[in-house]
Amino acid sequence: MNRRDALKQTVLVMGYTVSVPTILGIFASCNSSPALTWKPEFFSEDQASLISELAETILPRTKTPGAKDLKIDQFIDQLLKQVLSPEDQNHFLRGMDAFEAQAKEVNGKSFINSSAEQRVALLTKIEKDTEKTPPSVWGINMKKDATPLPFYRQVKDLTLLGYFSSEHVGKKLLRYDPIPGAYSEDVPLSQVGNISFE
Amino acid sequence: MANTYDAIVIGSGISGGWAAKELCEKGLKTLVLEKGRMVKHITDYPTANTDPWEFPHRGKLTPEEMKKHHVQIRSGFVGESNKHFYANDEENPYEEVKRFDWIRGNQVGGRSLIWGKQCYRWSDLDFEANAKDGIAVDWPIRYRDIEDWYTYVEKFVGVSGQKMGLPHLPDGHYLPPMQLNTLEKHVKSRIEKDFPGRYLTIGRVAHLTEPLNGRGKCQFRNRCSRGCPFGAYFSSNAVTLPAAEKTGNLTMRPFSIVHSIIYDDAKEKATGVRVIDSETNEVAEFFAKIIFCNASTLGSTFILLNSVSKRFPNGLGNDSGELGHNLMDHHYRIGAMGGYDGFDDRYYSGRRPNGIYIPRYKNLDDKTKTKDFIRGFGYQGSGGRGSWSRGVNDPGFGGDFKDSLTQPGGWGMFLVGFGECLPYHENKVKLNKNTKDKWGQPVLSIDCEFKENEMAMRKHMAADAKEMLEKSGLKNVTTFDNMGGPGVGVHEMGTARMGRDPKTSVLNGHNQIHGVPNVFVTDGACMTSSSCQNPSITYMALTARAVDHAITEMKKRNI
Repeated sequence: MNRRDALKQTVLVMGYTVSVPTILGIFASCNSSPALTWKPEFFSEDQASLISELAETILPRTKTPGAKDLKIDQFIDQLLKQVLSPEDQNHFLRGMDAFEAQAKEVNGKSFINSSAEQRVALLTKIEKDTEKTPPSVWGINMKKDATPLPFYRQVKDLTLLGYFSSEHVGKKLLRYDPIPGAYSEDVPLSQVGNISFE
Repeated sequence: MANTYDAIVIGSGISGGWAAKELCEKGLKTLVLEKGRMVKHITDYPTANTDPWEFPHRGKLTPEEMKKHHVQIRSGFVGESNKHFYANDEENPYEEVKRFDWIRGNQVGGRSLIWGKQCYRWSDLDFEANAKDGIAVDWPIRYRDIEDWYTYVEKFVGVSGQKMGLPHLPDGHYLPPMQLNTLEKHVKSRIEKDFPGRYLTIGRVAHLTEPLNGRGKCQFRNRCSRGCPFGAYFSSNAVTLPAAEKTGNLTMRPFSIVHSIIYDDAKEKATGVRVIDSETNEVAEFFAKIIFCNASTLGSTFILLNSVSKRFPNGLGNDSGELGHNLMDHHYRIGAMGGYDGFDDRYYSGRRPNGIYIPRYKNLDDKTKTKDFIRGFGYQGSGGRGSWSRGVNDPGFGGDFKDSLTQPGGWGMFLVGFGECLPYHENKVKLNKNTKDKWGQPVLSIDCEFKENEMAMRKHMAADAKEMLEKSGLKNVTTFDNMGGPGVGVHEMGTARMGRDPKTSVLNGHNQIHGVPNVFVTDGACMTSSSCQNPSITYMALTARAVDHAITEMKKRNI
């Protein structure tokens, strides 16, 4: 990797990387609610459609698979059903209602029926306004009295978890090195390549 | 007589495993009693080779599992991959007069399967501390009493680390150190330049960096808390118990809850142990000439408190009234973190199960003395580049964002302080006989808190961490503080302290109970002060030393 690429990389890793044209390309032809191809167990059909579109907006298909391709919507449906307490499930669903209400207030229609530009504009604002996950060290939350995450951050968290801990991504897009054998403490980035799967 | 052995060891964790090995190798037929289930090395590590997508909940716990481990999860370490090595809190209740996070591993191997593996020798800065400060009681030992035993256990454990030549962090017998990465090296050079007397080194850890005694070296998978199929980190299961078993002298009895140690008023010594079989509820008695109590700090003290006789109506060896008192734990979960702009073309490979260590630098001498608190603290931490999970908080979404997350993020580093806790008489445990567990045993009532000295120290721990990272050029440095309850450091110590005077301590300088010389307590319960350094390697050294003493005394027919 040359110096210019390295600089570009720095910009990318800082995260300000919403690519409107990419998202427009994906959603140009789907302004109405697409039919679900799976049966949700936690969500209603409408709720599942919203999660499906939201996850795909966060991680859309590019030259690599998107959230829908890897069934991240189904993963979120199952995870909410199996690992959230009833109180946390309610918190999530209330957050979802508030999200839809905001979409209607800002765009005059539901998230799913909003145009691609409207979705991006809404998420960009919500992304900026939404509380972040607390700092953690060794997996330990380092914030006193941490409260459940707001809806958008939670969906983003679950979408990224489902996607990047999936077998396809772990084996094909990340570096699959279950037994590294050694720790090489200083290696040029270009030699290592992608981050490890774990 | 049936059920009779030469020695009984109660508990199979870090110190119990060592007691078993040493006793067996000295030719004593030894019974090891373990409260929990059997965990066999490798075969009972069900998740050791499980990939992320093979976990149905991708690491998360269900509400039922959270309930079952409702105390254990306070540690932040329990997940889908290692939950089977953490205690069932519903079956093992205790009373919290004040919040106390009692983190337990009830199985063969105990917490040696899930420990942090950091191994730091204590020094006379620690062993002389109580005497110099005039608090609690003096340690009955000094560094010279334990130095050779540190070397003895380190050689068998396999500790990797860097020698530093610091008097207050004595060098040991080390395998080649693991390496610092690019940012850690940078921060080391800045701290050592800008803060004379402060040093940063790679953690000294019980991970093999070279094969040892048939065990494989670390493969840098960082899946340690699931059990290591290479035997690369030290655990009772992988190291001491197999050594004990090899002698043919070991009998292992899991599912054995020790009710009490049997004291014979006529013979004026302990004669055995009373056990409840956790599966059948049957009570059985086992007999031996010597008994090693290694049930963990509070587990051992529970057994002693529950071992009443005419001679010891308030618990075995409790002439002093100190049994159950002076409970300590390291206070931590405070420090600072920040990002670093630069080294964009540098990276690393492999997942190093270890971080950095900044040894104590306060109150070493007059020059480093502060008036704000006594004793001191050290830091653990690490540097690295962001993984995909940074995307949760980074403001972005969409295709380019997604693809960028397959690349490492920027560099960042954190420091977490670990502080000494003073031995306060009023930090105590006692038996609550009004509440019984499912085996009819009373429960422990724990009344413990950190006080002014710890709180004053914490202010320095956060401020110094921030200052060191900022001076090292890190950006957006923020401090954090989520102390939790005592216990969450999982370094609980004290409650059956060593001392010179039977009137003020429970154990003598060889970990024998004053007045009951054939019972030894060599786990964390024996500690007279807490240092700020991880205690396990000291338990191991004290245990090997105590067994050596026990054998000598047996030969002299003193016990």
